[in-house]
Amino acid sequence: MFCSYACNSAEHSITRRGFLQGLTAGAAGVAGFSGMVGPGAAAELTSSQKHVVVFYLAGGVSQLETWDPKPGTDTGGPFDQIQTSAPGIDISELLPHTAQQMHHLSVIRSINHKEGDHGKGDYIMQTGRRQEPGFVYPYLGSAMAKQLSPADSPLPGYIHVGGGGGKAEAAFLGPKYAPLGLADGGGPANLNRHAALTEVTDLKRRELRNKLSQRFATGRRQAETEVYNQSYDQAAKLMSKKDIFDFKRMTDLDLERYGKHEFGRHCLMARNLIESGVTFVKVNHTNYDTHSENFNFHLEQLGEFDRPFAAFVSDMAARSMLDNVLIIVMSEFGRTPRINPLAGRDHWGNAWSICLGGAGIKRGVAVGKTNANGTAVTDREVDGGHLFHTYYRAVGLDPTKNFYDNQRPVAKADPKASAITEILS
Amino acid sequence: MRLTQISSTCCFGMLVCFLAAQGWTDNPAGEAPGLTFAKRDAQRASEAAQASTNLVADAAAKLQVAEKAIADATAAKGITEKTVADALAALQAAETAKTAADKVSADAATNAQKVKDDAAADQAAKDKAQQDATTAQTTAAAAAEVLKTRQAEKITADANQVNTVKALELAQVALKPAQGAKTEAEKNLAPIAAIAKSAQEKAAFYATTPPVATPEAVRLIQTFTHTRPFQSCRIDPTGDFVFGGCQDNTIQRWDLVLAKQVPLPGHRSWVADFAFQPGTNLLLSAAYEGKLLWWEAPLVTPTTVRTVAAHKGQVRSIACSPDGQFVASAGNDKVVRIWRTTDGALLKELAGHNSHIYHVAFHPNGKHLVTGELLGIMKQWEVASWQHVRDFDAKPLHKYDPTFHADCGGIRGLAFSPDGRFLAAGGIGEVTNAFAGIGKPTVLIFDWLTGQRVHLLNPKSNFQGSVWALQFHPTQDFLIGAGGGGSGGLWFWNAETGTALFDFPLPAAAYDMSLHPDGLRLALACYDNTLKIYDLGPKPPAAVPPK
Repeated sequence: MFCSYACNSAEHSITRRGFLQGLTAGAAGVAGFSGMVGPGAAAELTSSQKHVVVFYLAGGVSQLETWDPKPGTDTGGPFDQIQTSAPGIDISELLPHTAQQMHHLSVIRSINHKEGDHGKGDYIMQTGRRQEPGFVYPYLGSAMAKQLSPADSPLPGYIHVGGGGGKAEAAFLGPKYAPLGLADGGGPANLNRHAALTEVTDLKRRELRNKLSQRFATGRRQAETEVYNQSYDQAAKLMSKKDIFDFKRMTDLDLERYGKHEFGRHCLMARNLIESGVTFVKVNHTNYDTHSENFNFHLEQLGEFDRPFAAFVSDMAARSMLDNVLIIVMSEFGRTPRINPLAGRDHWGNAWSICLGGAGIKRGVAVGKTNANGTAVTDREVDGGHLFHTYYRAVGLDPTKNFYDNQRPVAKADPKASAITEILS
Repeated sequence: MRLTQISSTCCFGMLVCFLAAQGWTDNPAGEAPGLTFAKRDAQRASEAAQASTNLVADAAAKLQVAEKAIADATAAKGITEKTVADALAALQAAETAKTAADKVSADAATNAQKVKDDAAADQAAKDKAQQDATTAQTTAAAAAEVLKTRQAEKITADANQVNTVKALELAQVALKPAQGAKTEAEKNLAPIAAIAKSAQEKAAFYATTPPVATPEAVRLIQTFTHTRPFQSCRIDPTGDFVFGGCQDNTIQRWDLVLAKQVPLPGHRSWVADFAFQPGTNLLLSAAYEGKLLWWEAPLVTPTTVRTVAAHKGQVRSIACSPDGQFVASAGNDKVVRIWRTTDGALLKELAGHNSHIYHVAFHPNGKHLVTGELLGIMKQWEVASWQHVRDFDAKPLHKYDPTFHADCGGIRGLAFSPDGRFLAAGGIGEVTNAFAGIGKPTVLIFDWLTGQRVHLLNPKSNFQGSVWALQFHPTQDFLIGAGGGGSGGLWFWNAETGTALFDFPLPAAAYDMSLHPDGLRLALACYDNTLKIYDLGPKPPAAVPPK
């Protein structure tokens, strides 16, 4: 848990002071405080705590088999479109369950980030920027965890169900905001106290460690020990909340509704984590990189995605959580309208779609258009920057403000872009 | 994507009976199917050429009529022009005469009045002057009558002239289409005559050279192009037509002899498979929207006679039983359904598959049905009871790719040998990258009696891609596979010995294949918007000298 990033980082000294001040001064605010966890961030929220859930369809889901079908055209493929619960918004027949939830959701059909590389497309969609040499922007999960998580939350702000990601996602925000990966659908490793330790012994051990750390810190630089101690403290808090990772408590009815396959369980875990107060949950569904047999594989993959995702949306609505939970279904890019000789579709960032719903998002709206066979955006072209501004606005944050990296301001969202206001409620 | 639903040998036997019953062809005992169909093609081409010749003659006759009509109209117009001129002259003469008579009458009247008023004039002079005046008046009245007559004659002549001009114009208007029709008919005659000549030469060649199919002889002989890639194809039992399921959701029919294209719209998604109902001229098509359509396929404009909503989700395969009683269909709802062909009634649902069913095929003896799925399982069902009999393990044609979290492969081609001893299943094996389609075209040969796999076959070359269709040759001992990856391939194996015989590269992936009942030609449904016809028979010389 040693966090080497923090070495020589003035930002973390500020963080420590700011953090302590934040605890004592409440929301009074201190210059440079606004980008940090705590009352400053909380003050930005327009209502109760917001959460974000990203369903990441890895490999690049086809917009033509999901949110922007073009049946009967040279690019449309064999699948039809179906009406949804949102009048005027038809989606692919591969998403019949989701179609029944579209009155809670909206789609953006006019993304053009011009990127056909997995890594670069992923970076754009998760940071809202193009890659820049020598600098990494925080990923959406880390950024939201930092800004939306309550200061005293014992929970990690960003959980990646199914594992994946890493501390690099937090970039200069620090590893506290890196994703906690829940591999194979279980809780974090070593969540339970070692069997050989009693609670009293464990407490004494931690007190001793703190004492030694304090002695070590005397006359030495603060950031390393700060982060070091912080990690232990967070781990201890997390251990105290280990019940939220007890996914064995899932009911048979829930498992039936969500499906007993891995993605179904992951969606159910996402619901439980959000209900438990986790700020940002990312659920991967893999894989959609269908250069070959696009239609068979989308039939297979979306057949698995559809029901649990629809159950998740339905549950959020039924539990009156939609107003506080931003739902995003994204990929690194879409897929080519052209069908290749392998009956596949290739990488395509020029005219594709995502689905949004929940917090701050209008219900049942389609923004942007592509042409008749989906080869170009014809109305309201947007890119990753626009999407990030929109996410920020949707959860009540101001995307025009800055983070601070070593006291240097870093715009939270690309200043050249702006929010897609048509989709904001 | 599909191969045969009836063994080819059985198919040809049925075809001969069918054609004989229809009076379409004679099949002398022992005559090679290649020759029978070559003769049939030659006959059809000759008939078409004769019809085309007749059209030319008809068009020429119509042109002659049009030309004569012009000549007649021109002559009539000349006559009326002369009549008009004559009438005009007569009219002018009448006008002159009337003018003169009027003057004489006026003078006479003046003179009579003058004489009457002259006290010195005697009664005789007065009477004579009055008589002259009366006579002149009568003459003037007569001249007026003549003028009236001439005027009427002139009007009639003018009207007649107008009519003849109009008649000429009409005749001239009719000339151009007649000339065009003749030119068009002559233009059409040339290629049809060439086709007929070629077909006759081929039939003559096959009469002396046994038309035996060999893999090494394979060559492209016809290409039919449409607007989108073709997903499926089937040659009808008469051998006259090839039907292609296009990615524009239509079926396209081409006459194999005359190359005439006819669309069959009706489906709402890609057509995955075809079957012909034995003993009828009905074509069945199955499409991804879940429906089966029955078509009166040979009609000039084919029409649907029945529609059945057969499956939830895609129908991927259909097959008719050899006796024509049943059609089996299967698809993504994992259920095999048995329909009565005569009225489309659902007879049975066969459950047991756990994944999408890609293929169905009846054994040539008609007693068993085999169905194959995505996960590499094939199930045998007894037709009499529709009970499950056993499974065949075709797992080499399936892979769960843990990287992509997806099942890939499945039974892409399924075929019985004509004698029913072997069952072949084709697809993609040794997959190293599911989502890039990297793997080997693979065929598994099963011994029908034991149910055991006896061979695993790959092409001779290191082609990467999938087998999409399989068919045993009806009389020769080779199995044909068609498929593709980045490009396409035709592959030939000996199923009994498990030997790869010959690879033939294709310019584009082939998604389906159908063997012509002549055993020589095969159709391929290709990615490059074409249906291609290849020939495995001996190549006729450029020109066959007449006997």
